[in-house]
Order: sequence, then C-alpha cells, then structure tokens
Amino acid sequence: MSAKGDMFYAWTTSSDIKGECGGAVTSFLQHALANKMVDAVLAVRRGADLYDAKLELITDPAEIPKAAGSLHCGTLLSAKMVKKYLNGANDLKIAVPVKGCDAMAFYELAKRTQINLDNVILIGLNCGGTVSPITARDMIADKYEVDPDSVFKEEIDKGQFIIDYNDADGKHQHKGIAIDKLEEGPEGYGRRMNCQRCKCKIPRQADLACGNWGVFGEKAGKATFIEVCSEKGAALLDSAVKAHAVEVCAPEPKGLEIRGKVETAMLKLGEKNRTRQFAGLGEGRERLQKMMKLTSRCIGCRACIENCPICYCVECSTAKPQLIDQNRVPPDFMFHLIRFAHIADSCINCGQCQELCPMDIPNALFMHAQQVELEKMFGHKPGYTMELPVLAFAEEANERARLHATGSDMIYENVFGEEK
Amino acid sequence: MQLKYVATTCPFCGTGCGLNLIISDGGVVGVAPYHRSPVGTGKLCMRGLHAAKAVSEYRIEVPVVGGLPADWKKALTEALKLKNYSGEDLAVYTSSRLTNEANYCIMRFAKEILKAGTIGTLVSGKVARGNVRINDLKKADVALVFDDCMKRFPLTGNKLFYMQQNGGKILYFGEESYTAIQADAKCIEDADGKLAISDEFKNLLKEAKNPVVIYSTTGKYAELAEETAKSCNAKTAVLYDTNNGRGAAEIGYIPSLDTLKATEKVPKAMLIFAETPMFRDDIYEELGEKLSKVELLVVVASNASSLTDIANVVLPVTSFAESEGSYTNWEGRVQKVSAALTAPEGPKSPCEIIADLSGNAISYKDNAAIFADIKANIPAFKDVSYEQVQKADGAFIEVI
Repeated sequence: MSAKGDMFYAWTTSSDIKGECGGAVTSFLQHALANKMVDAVLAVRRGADLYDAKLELITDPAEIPKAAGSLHCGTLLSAKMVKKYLNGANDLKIAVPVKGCDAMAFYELAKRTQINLDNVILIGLNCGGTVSPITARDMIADKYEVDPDSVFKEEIDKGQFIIDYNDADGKHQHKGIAIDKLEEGPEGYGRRMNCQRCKCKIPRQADLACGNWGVFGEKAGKATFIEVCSEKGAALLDSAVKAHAVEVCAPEPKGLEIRGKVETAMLKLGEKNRTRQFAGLGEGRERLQKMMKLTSRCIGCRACIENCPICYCVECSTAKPQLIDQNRVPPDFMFHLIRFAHIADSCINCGQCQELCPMDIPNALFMHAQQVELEKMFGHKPGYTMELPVLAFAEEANERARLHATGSDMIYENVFGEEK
Repeated sequence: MQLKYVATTCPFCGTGCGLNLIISDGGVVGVAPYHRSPVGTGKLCMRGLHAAKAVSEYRIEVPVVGGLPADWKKALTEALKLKNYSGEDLAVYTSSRLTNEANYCIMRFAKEILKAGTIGTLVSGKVARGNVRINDLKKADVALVFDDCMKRFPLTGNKLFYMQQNGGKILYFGEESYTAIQADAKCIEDADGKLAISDEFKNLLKEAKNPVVIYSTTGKYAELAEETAKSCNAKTAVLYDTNNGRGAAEIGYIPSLDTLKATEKVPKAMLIFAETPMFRDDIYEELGEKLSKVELLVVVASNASSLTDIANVVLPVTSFAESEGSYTNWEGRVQKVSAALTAPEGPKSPCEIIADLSGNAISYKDNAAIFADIKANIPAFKDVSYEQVQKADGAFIEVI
C-alpha cells in the first residue's frame, strides 16, 4: 500500500502503450477509466500536426493510448474548460493530466466552488514550460534552420529545446539549442514568458506527480518517476499495481538527488526570469505609465476574462456601464484596474490572458508582477492549497449587512468612522 | 457526455483566424483557441470568441413557399420559375461568407443556366488585391493605415504592434479612432473632410525599405490609399470585411450592395444566398422596401431574417458550421473550413441546392472535385494544391 509522500519508478505492462518514459501516465488514465474510477478522461490529443494540441473527452479506454503524451506546444489550460463545458465536474468523474498551471487553476476554481475536485483525479506532469506553436515553427525555421514540417519529435531536456527531424536526404537528425540562448534574443523565441517565470515545475497539488526527472540507472528512459501526493493518488496507484496495469520499484537514491537538482535549477531559472522581466516593467510611476500605455491597445473583447481561471463572476464589474463606458474603445484604464483589484491576489501565472489577447497586451506579466508583491504582503500563495484568497477575508456579505444597517450610504464615513 | 474540438476558420472578417469549435453532444457549445492558426495564433477578437452563437438562432429547417411550409419538390419547382426571367430582369446575389466551393457552384448556375444580368455579393466596397502577407506586416518599417483598420481587423492590426516593437512606425490617416491612438504619427481628417496625404507621410513611405499601405475595401479612403501606395511605391494590404470576401472577388462576384441601394430600377426576379452566419445587424432590413417589389424573390438561407419574411420561396441551407470547404482570406491564403456539425434533416448544402436547381447539370462528387474545377477555371487558383489547403497553414493563391 502506498501513501502520500511515497515515490516510485513506474512503467506500463501493456504492449499497446508507447508512452514516453515508461508510459505509466497513459496506464493510470486507462486503468482509472477501464475500472470505472472515472467516467471519462480529459486528455490532450494531437490535432493537425506536432504543433497542434487539442482537448478531447475520452470515454473508451482503448482510445487512451492515442492521446498525446507530451506536446510542448500544448499551451492550453484545461481547468476553465471543465468549468465551462463539463459543468465543473459536478456530475461527472474525470481524470485529467495536468501541467503546473492546470493544477493551480483547478485549485483556484475549486475554492470558488466552480469545480468539484472530489470528482477529479489530477495526474500531474512535470513541466519545463511550453512554446506557442507558431513561435516554435518560426524559431525552428530561423534558429535551427530546419523546415518545421520535417520535425517529428520535440522535447525540452537538460536545459535545451531539442528537435528530431528528417533532413533533405531523409536522414534522421537531432538538434538542440540551449533554452536561455533562445530566450535571450529580441525575437521572443523559446517558452512563453509566463512559463519562463513559472515555479510550479512538479505539480504536487495533483494526486500523482509524474515525470522523467529523477529516473536514473537501468530504468532511465523506461520508467516514469511517480510522487504520491494524495490519498486519491495512492488509491489509483495501488489499484493500478494490483491489476498489473503498471509495475513499480523503489527509486534509485542517485535519482532522487538528480530530481532535486533538476527542480532546484528550474526554480532558480524561474526566479531569475521573474527578476529580469519584472525589472523591465520599471517601478512606481514608470511602471504605471507603461501599463497604461500598453493597455491602451485594448479593444474590450474580454478574451482575458473569458480565459482566466480566476474569473467566474456571472456579472462582471467590467461589464457594468456605471463603471466602464461599454462603447469606448480602448476602454478606460479602469477596466484593467478592476481586473487587477479583483484577481491579482489569486493570479497563478497561467499566461492565458496574455497569450490569447488579440492585441498582445502583456496582461499576465502585469498581473503576476502584482501577485508576487501581494504574496509578500499577505502571505497568500494561490494555486497550492484550498486556502481562500486575500479578498475572501473581507466577509463581503457581513460587511454589506453592517453598512446597510447604518441606514446611510456614506461608505467612507461608515467604513472609516469619519466624524461629520 | 462529449467534448471535442473541431478546427475551422472564422467566417467574420477577411483576416480568417483559425478557431476550434467545441462540440458537446451534437451541438456547438463554444469556441476554444486554435493556437496552430498561422494567422491568429489562437487569439480571437469578440466576433470569433462568439462564433458558436452564430450557429443556432432562428434556424430554418423546411422549405417555405408563399409563407407556408412546403416540400423540396414544390419549393424547387417554384424557385425554378426564375428561368422565366433573364438579363437585367434577373439578379443573383450571394454571401461573401460562403465557401469558395459554394460560391463557385452558384456562379456557374447564375452564369450558365440563369444567365443573370447581375451577379454580385450583398456587401459594399470594391474589388482590390493586396500584395503583402499578414505576417510580413511585422517586418514593415513604415505602415500607413487608413480608417480604423486596427480595430476593425484586430488580428491583422496586432501585427503592427510587432512592427512597432521592431522599430517600425505606424502612420494613420482618418477620423479620430482606436488606430489613431496606436499610431506614431497621425493625420486626422478635419471638419472639411480633408483628403490629402501630407508630404511628410509620403516621404516617410518613399524613404522606407519595406513600406506598406493598409486599407479596407469598404474604407472611406480606399481610392486615396490605392493612389498613395502607387505613388510611394509601397506594398498594400487590402482588407475585406468578410471571410470569404477575397475568394468571392476572385471567383468574379462584384460587391453590389451600394448599387442596389442606389438604384430605382429593381430586377424583377432575384436569387439571394443569404449571409450565414448573420453579421452584426440584419443587413436586409434597410433593403426591405426595395426587395418587396421584386416579383419573384428566392432566398436560400439557414436562419430567419427580414429577408426570409418577404421571400416568395425560401430554401433551407446548411449553416457555417455544417458545411465544409475553404475560405480565401484577405492575403489570399486558402484555408480549410470544417463541418463540425451534422445539419438537421431538412437543409441541404449550397452545392446540393445548385445541383437540384440545375437538374444535376452542375453537380460534383465532392469538394475536391469542385476545387479541381476552380483550379481549372479561376486563374488565381491555378497553382493552389487542394492537399495543402487541408493543412494547418493553408495555401496561397497567386505567388506574390
């Protein structure tokens, strides 16, 4: 029997599963579905080509091996889709493979009662970051001097973005370039800016955290490193082992050491990138002016709100005509101030508001820069526990009732007790 | 429970962003980003974000003759009374949001069988062709933008932010607008409607290495933009309000809305393929009085509008998410349109309707066959590979 905190090497016993690094994740998903632990698996599948990742709800266990494995161009966020299109998993049990940002998004939506986590098994995947598909293609053509259509495999390993491709003579080639080299340049290549700042590399919020970091010795490349992160995760692992869907062994001590080193190096790089990117925003008035200038590109399309895993209000304040003139484009800066005030304490740096902004406003950079400051002030770290956000401490309902009872609408007077 | 993505192309503006329609239990429930889109990279504006809503409202599922439901046989017989008219008495208008394949079949029917005097699309503006591609806008050093193109075509406009980041300059000519706010230098039309480009702007364009002039076919300054580009030796990005406006233009349709609005003499009979999906407001409302004078008005539509209310015959057609084929965006990129849904029982696809109306004289076994015919007959398409159109990057008409 396994328990929270246990670590294993695991690999599939199925010859149908050609998963990377032992195929344990695929086996877990298939096992959970086949044994009715879940009704469906929300997986990422390859779409048009290697660069295209799409979500699909799979209910047939035989379909699971066709799901993608890892696609580094899969920059999508699954949690909001569960809220919007699967009724927050309220009446459906699902298993979902998640990156760090997905896992954090599940937590934030769950604490706002938008997703029922009791019905969700999160299979965490180590994530060194993702690259937007078109950026990846441009980068491969420009920096690797390779036709992006000839690439059949990509991976991020040992600090490099590596591609496998067939050259003009049909010969198999392998080429890697250091990620920091790619990200240094002015072209904006490499991982998304929010991935560069990410410090959730091993998603331990999930029920199982899986990946290849720390698989050492004879199992290298043939097994997945599994960290049990919850009782639910332990139950899935035990059940899969009992049914001989996966086999496990204890991790090599040297592997544990390597795993620690990889994670530490990643976190250091994330911190370095935060410092660099936030410094680029300047400070004080300069930062404010920069934000005002760039947000004046806004066309008020609300893609940021639609895709944000924190936003869930039915009546969004930014849509209220008494606060924001709904016909003015660009909308008043108040539009953005409302967003900052309402959600910056809970920003998980998933990057969706930036990646999907049609006018390329660095929304996630602005929001994340504020979140890290708020975390310093209030100690609230979004996305890791079910602790409520800073704003929740205001006890809004009680506060409104108290103000109402005063019989006056003079908020300043009521709140701060100013004498007339 | 089902949840699945189907990648397709946005029908709204001529930028032609890719998007994923989210299918759940047989219906389109929403839109998800299609990051692989070479045009939009997953980003969408308000129109694309709400493309799912365009699919379902006020659906027409059975043919209508004289305001009453009818079967297809009766409706087709009534519709074919169009053949009693010809030349100037007969007009065929199509939607510039139909696929290349549908509009090609309709064009053949209008020309070869009906021999209609007018064959057009019910949009304003002119036919013009740019000679720059969307992602090349990022590499321009000076871009002169007319009208509020950055707001009207957000995913075209955003390429200019990359250009600015690379040190390029946005010049603007027009009324106060969103684009004016983004511009590095602007020339605002004064109360007298000044229509001259300053020498300063002209010189900046002339001295630039990669100058480009950006305007829309329906823009107030389209002529001026064209002249300026010519005199300053700048490339042009000519933007269409509709996807597939460029495709319809290449197939030979003339934007006819303004002419129809202006004319006193309305053709006696009309065949109209209505907009699908509807765009903004009901564009037919202001034509209502004029169109109600038409003796025989045959409307092919997926959704009810003021137009179907006054039609003598209504033929129900598959909607945007139910037909497959291709769109040609403003840059001439031919991109795949996927059928995400099965149509309800009643409606037929535009090409099936043309096959029926033509007694199978214009009938193809599949879209590939129509495309082969387009390649053979429409010069701009001659080098376009159908296989390439099916891929994420699409294929370009004519080599720039």
